[in-house]
Amino acid sequence: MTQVYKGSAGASRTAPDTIIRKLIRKNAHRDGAALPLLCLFLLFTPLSYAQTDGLSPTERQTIYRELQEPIEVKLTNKQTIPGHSINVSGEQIQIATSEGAGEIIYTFQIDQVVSFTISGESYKTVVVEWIETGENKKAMELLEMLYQQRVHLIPLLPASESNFFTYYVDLILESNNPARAIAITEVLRPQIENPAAIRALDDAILESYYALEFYDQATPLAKAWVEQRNPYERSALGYYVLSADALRREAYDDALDLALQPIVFSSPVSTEKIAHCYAVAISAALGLRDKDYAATLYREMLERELNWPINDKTLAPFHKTILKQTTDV
Amino acid sequence: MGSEFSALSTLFRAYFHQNVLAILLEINKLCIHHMRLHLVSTYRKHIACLFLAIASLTNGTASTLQQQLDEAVSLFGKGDYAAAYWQLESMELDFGQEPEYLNRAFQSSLLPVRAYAALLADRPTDALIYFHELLSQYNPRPGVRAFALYNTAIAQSQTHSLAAAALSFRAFQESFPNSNEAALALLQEADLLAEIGDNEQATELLTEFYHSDAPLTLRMQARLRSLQLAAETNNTELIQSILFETNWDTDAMPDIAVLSFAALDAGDQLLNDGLHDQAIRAYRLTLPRNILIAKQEERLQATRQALAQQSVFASSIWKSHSQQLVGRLARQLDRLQSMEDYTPGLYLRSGQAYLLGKRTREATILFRTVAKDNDFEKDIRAEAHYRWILALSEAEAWSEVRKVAQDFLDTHPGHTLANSALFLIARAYQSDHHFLDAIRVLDELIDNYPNDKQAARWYFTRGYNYSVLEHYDDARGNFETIIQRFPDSALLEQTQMWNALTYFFQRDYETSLQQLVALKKTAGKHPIHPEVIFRCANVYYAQRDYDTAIETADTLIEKYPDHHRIAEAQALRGDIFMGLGQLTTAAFAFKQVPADDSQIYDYAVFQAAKIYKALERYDLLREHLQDYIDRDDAANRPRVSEALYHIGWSLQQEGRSEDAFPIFEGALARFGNEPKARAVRSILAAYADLFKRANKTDNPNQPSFETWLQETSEVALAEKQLTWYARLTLFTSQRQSREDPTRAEVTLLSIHRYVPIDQQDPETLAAVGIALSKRHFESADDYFEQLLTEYPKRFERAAAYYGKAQLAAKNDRLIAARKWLIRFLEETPTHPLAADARLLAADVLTTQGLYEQATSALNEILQIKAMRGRPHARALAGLARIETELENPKRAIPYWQRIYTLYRAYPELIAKAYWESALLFETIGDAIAARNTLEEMLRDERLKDHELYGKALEKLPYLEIAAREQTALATATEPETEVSQ
Repeated sequence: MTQVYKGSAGASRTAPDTIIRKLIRKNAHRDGAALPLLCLFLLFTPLSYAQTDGLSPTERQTIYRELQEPIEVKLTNKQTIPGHSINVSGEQIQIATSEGAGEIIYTFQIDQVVSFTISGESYKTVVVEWIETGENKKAMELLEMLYQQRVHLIPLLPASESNFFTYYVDLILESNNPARAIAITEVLRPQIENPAAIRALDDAILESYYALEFYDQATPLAKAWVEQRNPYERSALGYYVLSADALRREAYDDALDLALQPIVFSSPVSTEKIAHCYAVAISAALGLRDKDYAATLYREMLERELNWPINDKTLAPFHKTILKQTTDV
Repeated sequence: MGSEFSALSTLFRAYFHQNVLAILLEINKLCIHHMRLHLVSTYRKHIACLFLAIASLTNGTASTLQQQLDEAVSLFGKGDYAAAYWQLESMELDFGQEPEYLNRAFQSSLLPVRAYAALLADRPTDALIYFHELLSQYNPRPGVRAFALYNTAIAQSQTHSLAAAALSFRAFQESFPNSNEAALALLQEADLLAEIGDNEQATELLTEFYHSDAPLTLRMQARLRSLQLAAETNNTELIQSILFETNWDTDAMPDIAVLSFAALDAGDQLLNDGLHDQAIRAYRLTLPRNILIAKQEERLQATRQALAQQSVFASSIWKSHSQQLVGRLARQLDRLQSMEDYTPGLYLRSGQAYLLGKRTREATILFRTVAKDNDFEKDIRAEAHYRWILALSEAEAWSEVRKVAQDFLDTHPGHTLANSALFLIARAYQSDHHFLDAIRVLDELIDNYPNDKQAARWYFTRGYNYSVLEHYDDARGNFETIIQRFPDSALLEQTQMWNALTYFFQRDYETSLQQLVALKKTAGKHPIHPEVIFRCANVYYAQRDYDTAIETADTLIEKYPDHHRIAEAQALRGDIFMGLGQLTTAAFAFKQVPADDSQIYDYAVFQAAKIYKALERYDLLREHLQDYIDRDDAANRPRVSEALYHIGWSLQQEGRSEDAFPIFEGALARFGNEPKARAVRSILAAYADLFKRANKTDNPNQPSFETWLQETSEVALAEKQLTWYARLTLFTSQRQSREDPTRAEVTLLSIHRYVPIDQQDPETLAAVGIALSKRHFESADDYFEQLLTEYPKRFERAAAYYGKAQLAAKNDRLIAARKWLIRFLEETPTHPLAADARLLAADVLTTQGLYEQATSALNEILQIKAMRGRPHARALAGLARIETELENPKRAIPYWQRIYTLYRAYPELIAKAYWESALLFETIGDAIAARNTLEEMLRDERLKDHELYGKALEKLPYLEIAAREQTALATATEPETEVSQ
């Protein structure tokens, strides 16, 4: 099947803008909207509405309306079918389209489809802008709506579509919903080709499994992660998960060796999960009863202004021990 | 402030284009920007008048002046600043006397432009003239004034009037404080001060700025500049202070490369100075090259974008700053991209810092990672691999050393370090006491590379290993080879000494002495000289040439009073004088032994005590030993109780036993409640002995030791001296154990109830922990953890190894159990629990089905004489169990029989032996033997209370029946014998 998709998955400024969308986008700029435009926006929305909350009902409604516009499916026979409901099953695609009081369902082979035109492309730009300005809640809600709109089609869309939804995965992880992150990642991953995006997704999956304490799933992923990457990269996630696993098994030497690797290679550029690696290393040293070394690592961790991670139950008892030890000294 | 300048620039553009509408629109914008400055009305009015005035003035001569103005504008806009400058100059020439030209308002607008054009046209002197005129004669508006001041400073710096430029930048800051441009001016001022040579002032300025509220990016820039200045002046202290006391935010840093390279240099300096921890911190601030390039590219792109997006009306100051930054970043990036990759060197240095700082784990990881990363060059990987071996050697991980060194040889055969790696393998064997293996490796080295520059060391090491094995001839063969073939070797003197020592070890004192004396003469200035003198003294002593021995020892003490052999030399003098019968002199000599070497010191103290005892100078004896007890480190001295014993004995000799009690009680009061104090138990034992002696001879009415023990325990508990209470209770329990083991155990376990674990000493922890683990209480593990964590080097840790093994075995964690037992047997094989540990190990192996290994372990126990008695009996029981599990009852029975035949002193063991062998007989169908076995068992009155006795009683009748049936069957099946007739 040849897929040609109209409109890029990245920022698109060519789709027609509604007034609300313009206002939404303008208000995202730090420079501040020109006073007249701001006033105009305020006429449409209650003045008490705060930007840091999610989408306002009006915004939601407007976006929803637009996203409900039919998806246009262009076929190899040059025909274009608009459909409001699309179902993909195996090698077939079914498009339901309204016809008077009823509905017609078309069924095609996937390879008969040339392209899709899906409404709401320009909202992707808005998503990016909101993320950049820290309005994550709104961004996530909009992403949710976009995702729901096109989730069934993702396997048929270009990789750039899936790449774009990695934003969604990140936001979900930040909102502490790892199960949802896993579910969405599993949908997106088969479509992604970009190596950096694949790595980001793999990290998201691994982190989600670990957060859910699905250690049996997390550990083999962490092993593969460590085999494929270096300890001097921007993330120490795999080392953290694998070393924590060794810690739980009381294989303290292994835990220490793994946890120390990203630590010795860390630099002023912050490394994700480096504090977690420190915590595992200190815990492993305590497990080996090398209190002095544990205290040395703990002091170093504090000097580097890293905080003990509080969400990992495996590490909690060791935190108490090292606190007691360093306080007693 | 930026908007001031943008307004100004805008104004001039509008002016040059004489587009009135554009002018008014710009004025409008200016109004909006300046709303909060409240300048709108005045500014607008002023500018409007200005243009109207200009428009009217230029009406008459407009075409000529206008043309020239337009031309100047056009040239300026194209960036042809030189031409624009000349154009403006020619305007003056042509219209310089015209009223419209001379108009004050016109001049006040024209001057900044002329000055700026001159500056951009590299005519700073002219620029200075115009700026000066503007500032001194025209009182320009704040925005224009700031523009003029700042660019005056730049012009001054271009004319090399650095001090004046610095002052101008200072004036700018004072005039426009708290502005971002003032921040830039400060950075410029600091640069100029540094250029002038006033680094101190520059640094002070930058430091003050760093601690201000200015934007982070500018503060980071100031900090980096301070770092550069400190590096330029090699001010190590300041470099460290800046590096380590700054919160480096790489995202806010314009010049991240500056930090990286300054940190790298600082790290090298700190490493050279032996400041390893700081070196590690410094290296950590250095980015690897690929990350630095990526960051630099990001930064350059962002800065270029920001510059491009800067409004055409943006402040010239900021534009200039951005342009400079772009230029700097681009140059740095070029250099980074063309330079050799310093990253592997960085990792190796960092590893070296960790290694020298005794953080061998980190060093190992760094070296290992570089060694295995194929992205690095082969030579670098080889270097890292070799250092990896060194790190493991430092960590004394000898088997790992051998493995990694062998891997080096396989990966980098023929490398210049290959022989060194092989030598490290030999050294690892040696350190592990595998001397023959060490020799084998050295043989390979020497045979293949006899002329290598390291050969002398190989021969020496091989000779040393032979010496340890007491193969002295072979040892000498190696030493003599060095002496013959490598006379210039740095090891020559050491080799000669060792050669001489081999004769000493063989008791050929004469030859040894000859060689040592010869060496003493030739090595007068060598560091080995004092050691040789010491060895000579020992040989003289061995030869009983005491006078020469003393004379030699005296020489050592006089010439080398700080040498580490002084304690031994003093002790040797004492021994010699003692041997010569000069006891007083000997005692004095012993008292000169310094306390640094605790073993020799303790020896000397008690030798002197022996002398005082022999001289019956009990006063001196007591004084001498009291000094020993009163030492600050007495708590760690293992012979304190012995000293107390001798004091008590001496008082008893004088009929003053009662005076000994306070001395003991003083020592017990001093040490009793201190968990880390050693030998309290032995002091208690000595005290008990004192009681015994005092009761027998001096004072039959003296209360008993038991009474004292009881009362003291109660007081200790009441006063919450819980460590002391625990020790007393343990002592009580140990005294009870001979007579009443059950009561002893109860006493012991009371400690668990009253005394927190962290207040118990190692002996108590071990005893209580074992008692708890025998009863299968999991809380025993807390005791063992405390022992291993707080007392990792104490001998009592053996109890923790054994106890943990027991608990693990009980919980079917058999692999863990074996690990603990291996540690026990490797580290504390002589502990009293050794037999139990070995038996447990065999038991675990049996449970795991590893019968061969279990059998071997049990047979080993049977070979150890020290384990005769109960341990042997238990080993036999273990063997019987193995045979039973292997379904060999006929082989199991003899083991049980041996137990109840040979070990009758252990009723509980023989009861089980009888029972088990009876069952096995039954299994093989020999009811008669089974019955006989149980009958024998039941005849032993001592076994009546054993639970198996009752079972035997119950079973016996059944066996009787079975035996009768067996007999009947045997009779019935007997073959008939025909008598032939």
